[in-house]
Amino acid sequence: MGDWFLSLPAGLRASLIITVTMMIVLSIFGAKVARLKPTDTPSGMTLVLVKLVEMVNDNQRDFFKQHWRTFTPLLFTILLFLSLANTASLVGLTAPLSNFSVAIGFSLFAFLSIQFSALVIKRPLQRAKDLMEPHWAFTPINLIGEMSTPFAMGLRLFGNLISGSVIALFIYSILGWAGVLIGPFLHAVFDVFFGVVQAYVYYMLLSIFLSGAVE
Amino acid sequence: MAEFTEFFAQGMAYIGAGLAVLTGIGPGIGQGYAAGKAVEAIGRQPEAVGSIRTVMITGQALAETTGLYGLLVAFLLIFATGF
Repeated sequence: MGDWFLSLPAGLRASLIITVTMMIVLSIFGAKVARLKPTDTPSGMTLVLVKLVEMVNDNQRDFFKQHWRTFTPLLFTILLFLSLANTASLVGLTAPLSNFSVAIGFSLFAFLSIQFSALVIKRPLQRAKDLMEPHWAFTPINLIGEMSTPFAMGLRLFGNLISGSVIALFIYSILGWAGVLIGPFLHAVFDVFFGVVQAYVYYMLLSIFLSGAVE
Repeated sequence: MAEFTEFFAQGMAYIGAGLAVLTGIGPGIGQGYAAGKAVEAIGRQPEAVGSIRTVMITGQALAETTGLYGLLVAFLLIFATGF
């Protein structure tokens, strides 16, 4: 068991660690929120999470007219996972998205979630009609468009994370011990700022494409 | 002769990597244009600075993608050439 875990690439290991941590922490806070009475006031971390959920709900109501209740939990989970994953190098883990398999996994996830929800909510017949939108001759172009946007979303995350880590590696290897002085600024820009912005961009794009596919 | 071919291919891969990184010009122009337009918008409507900043950063992160593709191709050429 331990050997199997240690033989994984560093990015996959970090991804598993973040997933398990998120599951435990969110279960604890979910149980806390479920035990709250309507008259109680949440405090501390619970309050932060409740406020976050409210914020994402308000944000999603702008995208989805009817189905926001179905998709908000999924999109919020993705936003949380990506924000944690992209800032993972701050706590000594390798950023999971700098592993190509994880990035392609995110592409595949976006593709499958868009296609399945479109098929389930809009029924296959209406979906096929949507794909033949201006004229039936446009079907191949529409199909390529359906494939390429999720692929580009995963590749964008991978490119950002790998470029950040490669530049950090270059600067640390050139500066040697002096890298300790410049390191904080490097991580502030490449991990915190770019990582969180890219997480937000992925979340926004997935919301836009999902709402476009189901409504 | 075989050695020459090997070095030649390696050098060409490095030149290709340098050319691929020229894709950075496009996103540079695009991001600068977005920032300039955002400054104009803030000058016209200073109370909307928060939402303008959010939209600007999201749009710039999207425009960055094409440059990153060039960077990925450069990395592939430098590190993944099978010699």
